[in-house]
Amino acid sequence: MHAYESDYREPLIGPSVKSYTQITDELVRPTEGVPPLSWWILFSIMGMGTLFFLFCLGWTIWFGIGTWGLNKTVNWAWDITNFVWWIGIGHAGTLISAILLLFRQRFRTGINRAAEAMTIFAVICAGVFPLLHTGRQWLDFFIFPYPNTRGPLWVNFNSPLLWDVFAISTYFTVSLLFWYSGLMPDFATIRDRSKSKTRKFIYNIASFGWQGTAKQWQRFESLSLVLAGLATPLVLSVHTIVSFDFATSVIPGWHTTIFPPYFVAGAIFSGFAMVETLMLIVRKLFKLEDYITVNHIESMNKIIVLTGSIVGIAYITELFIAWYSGYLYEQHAFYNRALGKYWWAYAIMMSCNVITPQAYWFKKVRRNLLVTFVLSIFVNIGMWFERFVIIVTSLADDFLPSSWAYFSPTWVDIGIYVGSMCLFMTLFLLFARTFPVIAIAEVKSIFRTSSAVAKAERAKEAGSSSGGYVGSYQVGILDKDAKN
Amino acid sequence: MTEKFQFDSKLKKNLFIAMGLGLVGLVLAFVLYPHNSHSRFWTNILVNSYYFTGIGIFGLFFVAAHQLGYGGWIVLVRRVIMSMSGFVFVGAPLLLLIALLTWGNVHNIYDHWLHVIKHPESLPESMTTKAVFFNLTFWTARIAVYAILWMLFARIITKYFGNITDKRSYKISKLIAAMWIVVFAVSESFVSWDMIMSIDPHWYSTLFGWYNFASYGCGALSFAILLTIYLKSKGYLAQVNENHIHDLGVFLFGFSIFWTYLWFSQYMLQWYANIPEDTMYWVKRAGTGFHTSMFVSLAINFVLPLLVIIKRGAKRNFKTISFVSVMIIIGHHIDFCNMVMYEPNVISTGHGEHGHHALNSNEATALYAENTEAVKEPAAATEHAATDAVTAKPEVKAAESAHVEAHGHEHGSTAKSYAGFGLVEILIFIGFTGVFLYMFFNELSKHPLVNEQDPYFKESQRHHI
Repeated sequence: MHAYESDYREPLIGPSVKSYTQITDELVRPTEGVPPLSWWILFSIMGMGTLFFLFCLGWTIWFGIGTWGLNKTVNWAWDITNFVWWIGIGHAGTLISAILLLFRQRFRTGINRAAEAMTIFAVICAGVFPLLHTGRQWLDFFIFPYPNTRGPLWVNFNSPLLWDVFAISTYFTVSLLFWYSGLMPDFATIRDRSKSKTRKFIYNIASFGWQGTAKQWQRFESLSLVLAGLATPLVLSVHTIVSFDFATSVIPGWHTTIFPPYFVAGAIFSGFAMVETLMLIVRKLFKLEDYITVNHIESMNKIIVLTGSIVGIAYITELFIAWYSGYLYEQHAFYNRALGKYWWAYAIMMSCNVITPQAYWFKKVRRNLLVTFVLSIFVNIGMWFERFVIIVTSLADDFLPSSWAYFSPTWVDIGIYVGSMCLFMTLFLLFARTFPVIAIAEVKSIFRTSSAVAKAERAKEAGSSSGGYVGSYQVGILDKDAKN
Repeated sequence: MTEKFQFDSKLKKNLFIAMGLGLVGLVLAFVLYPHNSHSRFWTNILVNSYYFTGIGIFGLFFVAAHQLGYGGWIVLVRRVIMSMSGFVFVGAPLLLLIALLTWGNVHNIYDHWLHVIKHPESLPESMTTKAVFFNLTFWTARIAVYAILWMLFARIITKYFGNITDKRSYKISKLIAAMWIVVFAVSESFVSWDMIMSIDPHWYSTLFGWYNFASYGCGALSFAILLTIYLKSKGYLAQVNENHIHDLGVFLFGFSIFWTYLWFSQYMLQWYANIPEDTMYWVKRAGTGFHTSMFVSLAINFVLPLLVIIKRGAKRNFKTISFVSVMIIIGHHIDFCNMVMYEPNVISTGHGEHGHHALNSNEATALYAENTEAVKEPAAATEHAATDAVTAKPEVKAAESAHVEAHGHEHGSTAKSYAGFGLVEILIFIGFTGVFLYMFFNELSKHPLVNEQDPYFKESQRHHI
C-alpha cells in the first residue's frame, strides 16, 4: 500500500510518464547507444583541460611550489582555497542522500544519484590540493599514522590538518559505499535490458549479481539506513574540521567560534548550487524534464535561499562581533576585508552569496530555469571568493606591516584550478554516459504517490472539485490523454 | 468535530501550587541573598524568563519552518507546539522589565558595562564600541522591539495557523511563516547578545546566538513531547500516536546533538587558541565550582539523549521519551544558569576593572574611579600600545595577557561567588514552569485542538514511519 499524499503537493514525476516500463526505458536509454554530439563536444574540451591539469601538476612537482604565486605572508592561497571550495561542493551529495532521506523528502529521488556522484568527484578534486601543497609528494605517505622507522617523525595529532586527513578519508569511503550500494539494483536493471553479452557480463559484475529478491531488498534497505546514519554526522564533521584548520589559530579573522556551523552551511549552499548547475545541463542533454521537474528545482532553490541567508547572518555576525569586541586587530582584519586592498573579492562574495540568492524569496524566480542556472553559477563563484577572502585577506596583512604583501596567482595556480574543474566535468560526463544518472529504483518507489498521473487518477476518483491545489490541472492530464 | 481543551479547576489548582512554590523561592532568594542588590533573585528571574520565552518563540519557529518545508505530519500536534508561545506574553514583558529596572540600578546584572556607559571618561579603550552598542536607550529600545514583535507574531501565528482551509489561507500562512523566520533569526541572535552575552562584556563568541537557539530547541521539543503525551493521557488528541511522538523525538535527538556540536565548537576553539580574552569565560566557570554543573549539563543534554533515544523503540516508548524530555528541560535550565549566574553574583574583594560586580553601579563607579588610579598604569600602557603601535602586536598581546593575568586572580582566590544551584533555583524554576504551563493551557483552550480542514490533515492522520 502506498502512503497518502496531499493534493497540495506538486507532482515529482512529470505528466508524460505513465508506467514503470516507461521509467526504465527513459532512464536507461542515455547509457545505451551513441551519446549526443553535444556530449562529445563537451567531453573533448574537458578532456583536454584535464590533460592540461596533469601538465600543471607535473610542472609543480618538477619545479616545486615556487611556481605558485605564494609570497612571504600569503603562504597559503589558491591551493587551500580550491581545497575548501571542492570539499564544500562535495557536501550536497551526501546531504541529499542521507539527511533528506532521514527527513523523508521525496524530491531527493530525482537528484540523489547525480549529487552523490558529484560528491565523489569533488572530493577527488579536493584531495589533490593538500597532497600537492606538501611540496614533496613522494613523502605524502607520512600522513598515515603507522609504526615506522622514522623515529620522532610521527604525525601531529594536535593538528587539525591531520584531523582533516581522517575526516575526509572517512567521508569519501562512506559516500562511495552509499553511492555504490544504491547503484546495484539499477546496474541489474541495465544488465537485464542489454542485448550484448559483454555488456551483460560487465553490468552483472557491477551489480554484484543482484536478483531483486525480497531478502536482497530487505538487506539493501537496512544497509541504506545504516549508511545514512553514519553519513549524517560525517557531513557535519568534514567541514567542521576544515573550519578548524583556520579557527584553532590565533590569526584575526580566522579565530572565531562561528566558523564550524557557518562553514557547514556554506558547504551545503555551494553543494546545492553545483548540483543545480549540473542537473540543469543533464536535464537538457538527456531530456529528463519529467524526472527533474521545476518542482525539484524550486525545492533546491529554497534550500539555497535558506543556506545563503544563514551564511549572510554569519558574515554580519562576524562583522558585528569584530566591531563589538573592541579588539583592534580583529577590527582591522574585518575593515581590511571589506574596504582594504581586496575589497573587490569581498564585494563579489557578498553580492553572489548573500544578495543575489535573496531573489529566491519570489516563487517566479525560483521556478525560472534560466535565472536559476545563472544564479547557481554566481553562488559557485561567490563561495570560491568566500574562501579566498577568508584565507588571503587574513594572511596578507600579518603582524609586521613591512612584510605586508599582495597575492597574485601565476599561470600554474590558474591552470591547476581550472584544470581541476575540467577533471571534475570529465568524470561527471563519463558517469552520465555509463551509469543511470537518476536512481531508477528510487524514482519508481514514489511513482504511485507522487507522479502527475497517479495524482490525476486520485483526483478523478475524488471528483475534480476536491479543492486540491493542483486538482483541476491533474484531471486535465487524463482528459488530454483520452483525446489522444 | 472540533475537539477543544477544557482547562479544569483541578489542573489550575495544581499549577497555582507550583506558582506558590515559585513565589516562596523568590522570597527566599530575596531574603537569603541580599548581596549585590539581591542579584540571586534577579538572575533567577532573568534565566527563567529568558529560557521559557525562548521555548515559546521556538515553538512558533518550529511550526513556521514546517509550513515552509511542507511538513505535513505536524498538523495533529501543531496546536500544542504553537500554544507554548502563550508564555511570551509573560516572559517578554518580564525581560523588558529587567531592562527598564537597569535604569534605576534596581539590580546589578548589567553593571559591568553600565558604569562604563554612564561614565565614558573612565572608558577603557576596548569598551568604546560597547558604549555605542549599550547606549541605555538604544539597548532598552531593542529589547522592547523584540518583545513587541514576539507578542505580535505569537498572536498572528496562533490565530492563523489553526485556520488554514483553502489555497488562499495556505498561501498567506506561508507568507507569515517566511516573515516570522526572518524576524526570529535576527531577534533571537540579538537578544542573546543583548541580555546574556553582555553580562560579561569583555567576552564574545560569534556562535553564541546559534548556541542559544539550539538550547531553546531542546527545551521546546521536550515540552512538546511531554505536553502531547499528557493531553493524550487525558483523552485528547486520540489520533496522535507513537509515530508523531517518534518524529518529535527525532527532532529532540537532532537538536541535542546540534547543541553539543555548538558547545564543543565554542569550547574547543577557545581552549585551543588559549587567548586570555576568550578563556577567562571558562576559567571563571570551571574554576569556581561551576565545573560540576557544566559537566552535569553536558551529561544530561548530550550523553543521555545520545545513549537513550538514539533507538527507534525508545522514541516510541512514551515512558522513556518522557523521562528524557524532563531531564533535558532541567539540563538546559542548568546550562542557562551556567551562562548567567556567575558574573552578577560574584563579590570581589580585589580591585580594578572587575571589582565592581559586588556593588550597584553608583558605588561601583565611585570605586572604579578610585581604583583606576591604581591600575591605570598597566591598563593605560596596554591600551595606548594597542592604538599607537600596530607593528608591535606580539608585545601588545603579551602586555594584554599580563594585564588579564594580573587581574585574573581576583576570580580565583579573592572573589567569592554567591551563585549556585540550590533550593531557591529549584523552587523558582518550578514556579516559572507553573506559569509557563498555565499560559500554555490557557492559550490551548481558546482554539480547537486540531484543524481538520488543513490540506495536510490526512497526511498527518495517516502518518507512519
